[in-house]
Amino acid sequence: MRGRSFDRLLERCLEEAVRTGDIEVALARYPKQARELRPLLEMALTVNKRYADVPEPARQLRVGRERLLRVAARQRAEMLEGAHAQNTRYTKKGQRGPMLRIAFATKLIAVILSAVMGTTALGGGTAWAALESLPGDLLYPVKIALEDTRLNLADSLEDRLELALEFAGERVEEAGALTDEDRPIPEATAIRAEEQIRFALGQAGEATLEQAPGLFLRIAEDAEGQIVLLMDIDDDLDLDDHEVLISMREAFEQGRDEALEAAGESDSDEDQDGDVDVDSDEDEDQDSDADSVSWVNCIAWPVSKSMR
Amino acid sequence: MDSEQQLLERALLYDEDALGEIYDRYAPLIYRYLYRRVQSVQLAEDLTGDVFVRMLGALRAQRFQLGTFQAWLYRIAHNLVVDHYREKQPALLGDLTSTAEAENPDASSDEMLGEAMLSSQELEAAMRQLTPDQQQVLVLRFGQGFTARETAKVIEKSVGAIEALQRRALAALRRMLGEEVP
Repeated sequence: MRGRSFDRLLERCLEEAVRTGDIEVALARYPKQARELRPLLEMALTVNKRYADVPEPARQLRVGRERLLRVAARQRAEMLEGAHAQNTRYTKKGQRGPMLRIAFATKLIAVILSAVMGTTALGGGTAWAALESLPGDLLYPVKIALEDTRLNLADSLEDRLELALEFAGERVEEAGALTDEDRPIPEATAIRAEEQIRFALGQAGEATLEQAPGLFLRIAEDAEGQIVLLMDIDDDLDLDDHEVLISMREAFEQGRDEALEAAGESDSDEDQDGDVDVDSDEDEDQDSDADSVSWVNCIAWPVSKSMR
Repeated sequence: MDSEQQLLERALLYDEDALGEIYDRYAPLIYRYLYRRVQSVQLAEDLTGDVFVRMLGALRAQRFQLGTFQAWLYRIAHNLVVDHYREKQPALLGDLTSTAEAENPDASSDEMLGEAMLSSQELEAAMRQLTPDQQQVLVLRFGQGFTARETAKVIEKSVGAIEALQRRALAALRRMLGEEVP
């Protein structure tokens, strides 16, 4: 008897033997297997005893703690230096630089910068200065790094989807705020918004058949709201800014349309006659491309490194 | 006390208090695990420090998921044990590998690399003949008091695989020690 059932039986006996320190009770329950179980249980108790005695560390682990903090301080200083260089280059080149190409490590550098610069906003629920920042601000990379961190720490696809939508909406708010301040809107803001919409679609694409339609509709609804907000932004802008806004709006429109289509398809896959409100100006155009997009395709959508 | 998520977010910012709290919270557990693997106070202490320095680098690369942080620390510790013996005592590895492979039908040569500690005690010597995975299962199950499910999370295998590993490990020890097992 050496299969899965024996392993399960042994596990049950081990749990009891280790807990009580006595193998006889467990063996009495399984008399037919007792001959095979006994030597293994005895061995387990021997191992258990062998592991029981662990001497206290001679240096009370203090050395390791000091070393950790020393290494952290050194890395923080190195990163601070790098972040300063990165931010200087970024602000000199103008706000239209390829921010999305900045590796995560660099973003993290900026996070460190923020911590060291006195935004020591780590405790007490103090509002982060970085969260108020706009593209082109010194602390803006901090904001993006924090978004990446929050996405990374989210432990369900629904949470990640909601965060991606929240961050895409944040890009719209940034565009509005920059316009109010008569500052240029970086192209990276539109690109990032599009990435975040696509990330959200990708998350919905990974959902179960039951979840997917609702999640796609959630994306479509959110995108529709962002489109309305974008249309409200003062269009008395220079040509470049206008193009960025149009590009951003197109990203949301495409996201909305694909989400609606995917919701409809995944609904019909289940033969559910859902009342999906495909209220899109481009319905007819979309219909002709119906075969090209499905929610299943969303799974394979590439997601930029910065979104992982 | 901050939640694990709050601590990690602060640690990502190199917050000294957060890093210190993470160390204070997990270092004693990791030390005990490492001592059980290497049977040396000094080496276990050194490797404990290494675990947390390596953690720093991995945190920056965000190579972990929330909820698996502790399991991830144990994986770092296990890898350090394997690396340590691979680097320090390569000559010894050949002998141990061949012996272990003979004793363990599920042992691969790669898995054997972590074994090198010589001991005068037969149990100690026998345990060193187990594959790193088997050693890890025994330490986690019977040293750290993990359930099979918790152990599975650390080793990233199924519960069934863990139960099979522990049965093979105990049987291998039994074979190696023969009648001397109490």
